[in-house]
Amino acid sequence: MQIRIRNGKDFYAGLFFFLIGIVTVLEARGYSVGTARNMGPGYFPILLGYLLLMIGGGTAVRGLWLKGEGIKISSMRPLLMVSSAVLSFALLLKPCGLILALLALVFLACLGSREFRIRYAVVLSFALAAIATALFVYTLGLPLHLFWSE
Amino acid sequence: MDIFNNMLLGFTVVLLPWNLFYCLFGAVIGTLIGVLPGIGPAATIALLLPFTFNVPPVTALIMLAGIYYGSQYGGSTTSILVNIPGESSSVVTCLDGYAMARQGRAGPALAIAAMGSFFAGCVATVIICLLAPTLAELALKFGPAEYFSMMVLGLVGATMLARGSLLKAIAMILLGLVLGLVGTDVNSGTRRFAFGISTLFDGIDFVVVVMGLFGLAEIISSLDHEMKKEIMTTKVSRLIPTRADLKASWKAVIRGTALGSMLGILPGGGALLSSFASYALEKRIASDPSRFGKGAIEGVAGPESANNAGAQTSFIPMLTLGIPTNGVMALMLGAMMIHGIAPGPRVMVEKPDLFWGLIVSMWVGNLMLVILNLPLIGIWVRLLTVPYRFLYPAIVMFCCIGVYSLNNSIIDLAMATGFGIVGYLLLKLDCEPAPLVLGFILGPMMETYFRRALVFSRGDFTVFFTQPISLTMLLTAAILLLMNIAPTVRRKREEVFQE
Amino acid sequence: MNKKWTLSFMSLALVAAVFGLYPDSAPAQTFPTKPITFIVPFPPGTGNDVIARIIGDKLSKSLGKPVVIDNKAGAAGAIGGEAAAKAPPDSHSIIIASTTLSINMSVSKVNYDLVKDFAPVILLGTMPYSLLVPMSVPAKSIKELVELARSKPGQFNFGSNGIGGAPHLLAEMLKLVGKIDIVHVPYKGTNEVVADLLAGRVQLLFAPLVTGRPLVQDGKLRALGVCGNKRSPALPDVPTMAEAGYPTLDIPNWYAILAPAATPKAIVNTLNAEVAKIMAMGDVKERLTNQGVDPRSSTPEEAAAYIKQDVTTWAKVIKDSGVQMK
Repeated sequence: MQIRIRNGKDFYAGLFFFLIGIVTVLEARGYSVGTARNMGPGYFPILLGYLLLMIGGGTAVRGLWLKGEGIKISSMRPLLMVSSAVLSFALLLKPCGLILALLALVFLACLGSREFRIRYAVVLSFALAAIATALFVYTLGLPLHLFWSE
Repeated sequence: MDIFNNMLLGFTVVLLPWNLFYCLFGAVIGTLIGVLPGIGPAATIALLLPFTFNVPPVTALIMLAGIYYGSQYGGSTTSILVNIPGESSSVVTCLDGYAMARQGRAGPALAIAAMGSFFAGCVATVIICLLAPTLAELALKFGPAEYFSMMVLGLVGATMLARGSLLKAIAMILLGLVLGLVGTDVNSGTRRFAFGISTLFDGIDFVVVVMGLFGLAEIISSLDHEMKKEIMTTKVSRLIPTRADLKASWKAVIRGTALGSMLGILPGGGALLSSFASYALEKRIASDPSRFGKGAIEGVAGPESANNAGAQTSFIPMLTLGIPTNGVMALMLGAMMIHGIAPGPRVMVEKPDLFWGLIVSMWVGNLMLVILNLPLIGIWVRLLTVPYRFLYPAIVMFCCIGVYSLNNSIIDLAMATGFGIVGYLLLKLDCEPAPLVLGFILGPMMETYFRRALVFSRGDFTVFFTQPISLTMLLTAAILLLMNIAPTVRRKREEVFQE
Repeated sequence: MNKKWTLSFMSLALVAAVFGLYPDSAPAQTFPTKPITFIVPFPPGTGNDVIARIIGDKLSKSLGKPVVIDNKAGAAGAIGGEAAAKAPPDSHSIIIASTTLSINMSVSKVNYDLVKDFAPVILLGTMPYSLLVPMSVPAKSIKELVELARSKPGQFNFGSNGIGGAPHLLAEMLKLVGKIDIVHVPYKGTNEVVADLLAGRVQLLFAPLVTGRPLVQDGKLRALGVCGNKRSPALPDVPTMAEAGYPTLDIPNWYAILAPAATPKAIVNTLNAEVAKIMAMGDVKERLTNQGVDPRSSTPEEAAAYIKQDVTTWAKVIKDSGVQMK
């Protein structure tokens, strides 16, 4: 039997909320619940978890029955490159210093665009790194190591 | 007249050259801080605290105050230009402000935001002068039951932020509530949803959520459209608001100012609600609510006035009672104490030049900010015409540095990325981020106030209904809820009948 | 030829002698060689942070190298405490610590030990707590308050700035010593409580003296007792805890600068000397006093003894009251 998902948006959104609801309830069981009069730390989370389960479930079911649109993603590259840009910044910051981390950040971010050309990406990386350094480290005085030796 | 003399005294203080200079300096730094996503006034005030040691107390306070509301002005700018709220109170401006920017109307949006904020600032300053002690006493009448009911009202209003499916908006609010619970529970000391990660013991930072959900998700989404060869509107129409714009906005500005002034006084988080409340109000009474979310200028005028009025009136509990209404006020309190000034009614009597100087400086600061910001609008708008492929890496960079500057934590950056990815996918699923943010802010407060109200009443639930203020708010919330659901129900019934 | 060799040897010997006799505090003499990290385990703008900035500002001038404030807030100081305990042994890190870190050790699980992981440099000062009540409570002394509370079991509320904080624990002590039944209402931070205290929803609160002082002076609150061995000059009518008959409540908040345990003694002494000089400066004293801190100074040994005593005291309080963070 094949279940046709008529409304991808509703279905997956509902599924997402349903799952979050499950995680919430499971985690909240570890805290003392108490009563309505004397709520423990677990009371409100469990309540929210169950509400999420219901709404998520309802939305997912609605996605099965009512006709609607599916999800359209043209390319995974923006998602991939922007996320990796931020993560690379995070990982490179301490060992390699601010400048290198910024260069990596900007360059990788540029790769997420359809109009990417190596030349402007490199120039932009250096330009933005310079601006950021001038602004944040020198003007505002944020404590960031510029290079790797520190 | 007493007030007149006091204002005059205030002016003589403020118009001294170095005070003016520090006021301007504070306003400029504040604007810069507000524009840079992530770096907030609290951290800046803390950084600049040593500067204030060597200047007279009045001057120091004037500068700090300038930073504070300067950041409000700057925060609206990023909300409108790049959909990243600089402050929690600017979240709502993203909804219609950014939409207007995408239609090429960033200029009018920014202008109305600035003008509305200035009007609100002026009015709020007058209110402070006239009513400060009375309002402070009024604020004390708000106990946990009243705050809880107010938050409930706020949540119901949050459903009005939704542009699309109501059910999904509710789910997003719930998700926001859950996220808000991460951290140490005030009432029991239990660490919830922290999974052993020590940075989570104090909860997820608002900036992390917002950078990911509003900043990164929006960028990825725009790039996705770019991939489909959809061209971003770079055409820019006029910079100045049209007559129609002004006509539509002025009433919203007045309403927003009124709301913000009232809510800003409440120490328990009133100012945050003011922009949300204003938005909900405008949408509710608009003749065509469907315009909201797509670039309705009232959706910018009202909330912006409200949050600026709220920011000013939140000085009242701090100055008259020594109770700070938010983190920044707490810092200013600390600054006052360093200089040996204990806030309270005695300040008005013992150091009138300081008190009135500070109050008048608020007005002067607002004036400076408007004069600063209006010409800047031209620059901002031109910035938007830079091709997106150059612009967005810069935005990503500012987001990253902003997030990192909070706690020097890499985990924060990872979480922001996570929120970005999830936010993007949720956008694809037609789930909007604004209700989530409201839930995130209100959730923990709601729970805390509810439990605390029950502690005070020793388990008696009727306390929410027997206290008059609380009862009023709950009734209003119920009415609002019914008014929201009724059209949907009616529509569904009509659909059923038609089939 | 012989003369040259002899001269050479003698010069070398001279150099070696001078070198050998040169005091081995060579590290201290060249200290500091790079910027010093000053870890503050609390967010910017809080009490600890402001004090650290005041001192750090002066210290960088006197040491000639920048003192960089590093805010590592979170988990009531545990994150900063752990970071400082694990700081690289290059002896260029210091941390500002206060009572919170001491209490933390006993009230929850932390990854640092104030006594073992650190070499205290200097005690900066103490900040006394006061017992505050709203005007609606007719008690004029702690004894009266205790009697009133005993006559109305379960009706009085006491506030705190959070579970496991000093105000909470002090109130628990009062509960034990006074044998009263009062209900705890926790808040997030002192400022929130004060509003409810003023309104009379909360009947008593232990809070830093500096927080309540203006309100007491305005007649909006009453202070029933204050920590310390002498009365506060700003509130001369308020007895000390000991005078009021409750000496066990006299546990003030303290501030100190610590260095990681591996820091060489010579550097600790240098830092002690420099900070002591700073603490003697008039403007520093004034700023700290305005913050509510009674400035002190101490030798590293005195600081160590004080902190050790403090940890033990709080451990007992926590054990007796049974408060624990999960």
